[in-house]
Amino acid sequence: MKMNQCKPCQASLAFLLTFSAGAAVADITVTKVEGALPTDPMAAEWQQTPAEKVIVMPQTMTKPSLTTPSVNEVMAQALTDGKSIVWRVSWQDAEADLNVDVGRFPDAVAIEFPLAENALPMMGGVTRESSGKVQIIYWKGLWQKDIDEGFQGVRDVHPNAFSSKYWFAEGETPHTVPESFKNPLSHQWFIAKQAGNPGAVFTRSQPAQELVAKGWGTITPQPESATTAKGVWKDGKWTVVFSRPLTTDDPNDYQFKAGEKGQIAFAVWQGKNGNRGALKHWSNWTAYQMP
Amino acid sequence: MPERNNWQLGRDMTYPYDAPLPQKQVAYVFDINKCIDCQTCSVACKNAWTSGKGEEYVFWNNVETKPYGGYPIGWDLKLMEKAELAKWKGGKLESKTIFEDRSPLESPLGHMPNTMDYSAPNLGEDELSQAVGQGEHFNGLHPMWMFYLARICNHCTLPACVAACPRQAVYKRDEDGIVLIDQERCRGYQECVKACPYKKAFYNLISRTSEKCIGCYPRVEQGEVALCVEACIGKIRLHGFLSTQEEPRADNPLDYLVKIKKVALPLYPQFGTSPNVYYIPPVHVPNAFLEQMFGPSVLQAKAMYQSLKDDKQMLGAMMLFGANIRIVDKFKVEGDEVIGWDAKGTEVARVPFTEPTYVREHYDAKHKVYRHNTT
Ligand code: SF4
Ligand code: SF4
Ligand code: SF4
Repeated sequence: MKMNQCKPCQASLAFLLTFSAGAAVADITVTKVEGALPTDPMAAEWQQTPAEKVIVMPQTMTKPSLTTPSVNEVMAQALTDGKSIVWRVSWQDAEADLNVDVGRFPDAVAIEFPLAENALPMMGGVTRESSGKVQIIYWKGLWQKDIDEGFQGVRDVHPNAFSSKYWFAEGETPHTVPESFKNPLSHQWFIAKQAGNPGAVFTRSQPAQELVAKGWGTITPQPESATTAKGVWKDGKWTVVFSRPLTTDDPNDYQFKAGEKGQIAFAVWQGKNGNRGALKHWSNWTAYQMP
Repeated sequence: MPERNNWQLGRDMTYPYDAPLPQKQVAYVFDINKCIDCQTCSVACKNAWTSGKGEEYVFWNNVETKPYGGYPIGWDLKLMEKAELAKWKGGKLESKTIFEDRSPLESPLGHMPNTMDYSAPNLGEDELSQAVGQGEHFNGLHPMWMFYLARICNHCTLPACVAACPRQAVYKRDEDGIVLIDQERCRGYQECVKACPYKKAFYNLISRTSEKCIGCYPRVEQGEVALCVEACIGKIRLHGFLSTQEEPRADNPLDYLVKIKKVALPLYPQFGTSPNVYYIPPVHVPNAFLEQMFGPSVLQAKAMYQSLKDDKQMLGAMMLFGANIRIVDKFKVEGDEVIGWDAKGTEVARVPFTEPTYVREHYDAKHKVYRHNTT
């Protein structure tokens, strides 16, 4: 089925264009460091790094729209050693939401960079045809927990769940993923995994994913990722760092240049409030200055 | 937003997508009067498709006892509480569907089930509408009632799951109208879980995607009926296609029962998704309850079903239920038999109106055993 270009979408596109014309609301200074870059969100270096407040707004341009925002700003910082860049994003969140279930969603954050001149801050634009491409780097609390505590399965959400039999699974109840499911035949019921869905991964090396988008509803995970990430929730606050090389040979990666004035945008999802997909908080393009 | 005709409502309605009708529409007739709640259908589906980790609570096919049962609990009541009361006038729906009166920034009217709503897959089983008083069961027919409602995805003509997915990961196939979730594209937003009025999309917390009844499409592509249809002990189910590109054909059993005779009715047509599982209403249940569930044609459908013995054509179509694993495309009543052909024109069913009586000797000389009524 093909989506019909509706009037309200065009109206909000006009709004988006007007809005983005007033971009560059804050200036983030990317600071040069000598020696190793901190990849831990809690590293001491971050205390000396300038932090910029960036306003985030509820997404109200396309459906489903976020009617009850729960965060209005993020703090952004960045460091580079001339080879790699580390972005650090933090925001207030009274509780860490990590697991998923029916109607249950994890906290998440994303940073975004334009891959085309005309890219608008929210997913590059509206339709695939009219949008500029953007790169998005997305971190999810669930994936962080998968890495910190092991793949989050049924018993992590429902401790008393019991099922005695899974076809071709080895071992005993509760048959944990991935340990009990070594036999490829047992994967016949992991349909998303069989289909190659990048979200259905049982052994994950990073809690973040690189994606590209060209308009709403077009977000596409990249097969390869140069980003490492780590998020820590402490004292009512999430702090997440993203590290990646300044340049790569992937045309779907943003290439950072020395001395450039670039643009970054942010998005935050609060799991407690059912945020996922378009139900998110997003920022305008925010200028940053590379050393 | 595009206007689409919804014949079940007797009017046009708004729907967020401007999609043409599929080449033909997969459809089912379930005769509620015959269901015995054996759950063979549920097990057939579950064994084949949803026995994986993360799918423990998933029942693409479930059978619940009405009036109180439902899986997930209260799936229909919760939506009816949010929606306008269904109002019909002369076969036309006057109230709003789940797609109407919505802002362009809102998804279809729906509700996200609570995890605990899935904790009891058959809560309310065999519960009567009211308690049977002391000695009342001696008094002939009593006013208490209940019935079994077997449910699968309706492969709706105007699916709410398709309308709600912000990244078009849910789609309706052009060749047969089967509605599928692309398991590579789904990012687990659960918008379909929330929007489906029938709660036939489920979230899998291991795969982290939403999954729904696939209409047994690998079988349908071979011309075979769905597993839940083949397995049905009560032979309450007929599986086939409704014509979409031409007028309903009197020799197509689905067109005949659903579109021409209108003896089988959609479930909660007022929601507006144009569902394609059609139910023959249970004749012993009060009309007010049935009208809320199957729309204003209930009285007519009940009357037709009650005089079925006088309508050889309709009786013939109904004798095809459970007659073969091949999908019957064409049928004909000939003498005292009904004959069914598949889409290739091969005869796949021949059912006599009256089963012949066989008398067998008490002693089976071949196997040297005495026959009992269980052998
Ligand atoms: S019953 Fe629900 S899941 Fe199935 S097609 Fe209709 S709206 Fe979609
Ligand atoms: S049609 Fe197939 S997938 Fe759908 S409920 Fe029936 S058996 Fe399950
Ligand atoms: S197999 Fe048939 S008779 Fe048995 S519960 Fe399912 S629909 Fe009813």
